[in-house]
Amino acid sequence: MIRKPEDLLKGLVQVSSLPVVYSKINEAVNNPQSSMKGISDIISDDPGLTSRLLQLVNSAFYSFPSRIETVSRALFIVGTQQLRDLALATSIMNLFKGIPEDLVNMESFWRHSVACGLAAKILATYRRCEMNVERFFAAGIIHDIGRLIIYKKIPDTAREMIIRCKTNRELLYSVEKEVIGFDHSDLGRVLVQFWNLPPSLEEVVAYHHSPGEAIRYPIETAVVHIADIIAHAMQFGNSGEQYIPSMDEKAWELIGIPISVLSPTLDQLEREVKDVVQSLFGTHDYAEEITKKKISV
Amino acid sequence: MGYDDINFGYLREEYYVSSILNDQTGEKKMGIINLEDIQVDMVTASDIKERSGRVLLAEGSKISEKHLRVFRMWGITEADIKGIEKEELTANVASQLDQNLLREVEIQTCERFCHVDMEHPFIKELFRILLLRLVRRRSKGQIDD
Repeated sequence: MIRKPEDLLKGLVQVSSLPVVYSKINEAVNNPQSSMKGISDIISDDPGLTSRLLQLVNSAFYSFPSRIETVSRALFIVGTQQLRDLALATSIMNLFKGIPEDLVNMESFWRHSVACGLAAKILATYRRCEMNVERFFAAGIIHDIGRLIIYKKIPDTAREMIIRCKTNRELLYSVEKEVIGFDHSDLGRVLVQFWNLPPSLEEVVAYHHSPGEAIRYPIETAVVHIADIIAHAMQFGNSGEQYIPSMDEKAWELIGIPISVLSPTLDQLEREVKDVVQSLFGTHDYAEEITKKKISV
Repeated sequence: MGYDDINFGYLREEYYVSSILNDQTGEKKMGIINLEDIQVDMVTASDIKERSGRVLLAEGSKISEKHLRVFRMWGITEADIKGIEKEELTANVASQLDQNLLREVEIQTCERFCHVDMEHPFIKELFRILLLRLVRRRSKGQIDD
């Protein structure tokens, strides 16, 4: 019997396995005594993560004029907190496997999440007062994470809910609430708490469909709420939702940018999504390159 | 206009493009248009300012190629232009497109927008951009992503 979100998390391997490397990076970034070299060494010890991060920083995400070849250079150029947030985003993307293809295509799921993350990053950049836009990207990446748990733990119920939404033109998150008793944002919140991720991410994940409830991080939540609508409207991938989710009108006012940014935002988003998705799922193997370098040294 | 005889009522009462194509009598609308629609020799109807309030181009100035470059550099995304209305621009663009295709795409797109308020300015703009893009892409024979 499922009564609360925690019941669905029981026995999930993915839940307990958020890579240790992320907490190590986080600890080092938050410790005023740690050095750039120390942080760089922690990341470099994980070739998979190093490879994914270098792919990402060399993609259209930043469009740097020259290639960044090492983690230490990436740290200097991108920033420590920023690289930590990118590390979180890419680590989470690697966690969930073995979800039935007919429910959700994982690439399509992550394409939606990446598009939401990138849209959030672009909107945050237009606000001109955000120091770390990468955290908006990370928030966008994980906003629907709860849905993966539903697909993994109760695939049959999930299938029924998706069919019902298609037939009755309903929104999946409302149906989730009705059928299970809570929705993917409640589940995501519990997971974020369990992983001990920053409270801003917890609030974004918990209230991305009801940004008015966010108290401590209303701007972050509003940005991801709008970014989610944009990603759905542009049909970049799909997380299971057939329709564009309802919009909280106050969210747009809260972000405080003119409507005219929408057109350049969509242009930029189209350019970036393709390249960033390719960089995250792509074929260029930095890991192999790094191993070769290590051997030759 | 070609839209008078079409009844979209079974989906939604008002459609953005169809409603503006039919709306020729409305009161004076805003002249603020997107940067991408601004062309050389257009005249500003108010000062163009960057975010901190510095005037980049004064009211009544004729816009040149160089100004457009400066606007892009400063992240200007819109400007108030004399004698032009955004709705008019969209209607002009829409009237040049394949009307059957436009109608088809509009119905399909509206379906996905059925849970949002089409009257909200943000949703209106999102719908407008999306519709024009989809129609252009389809008429070029490209498949949706």
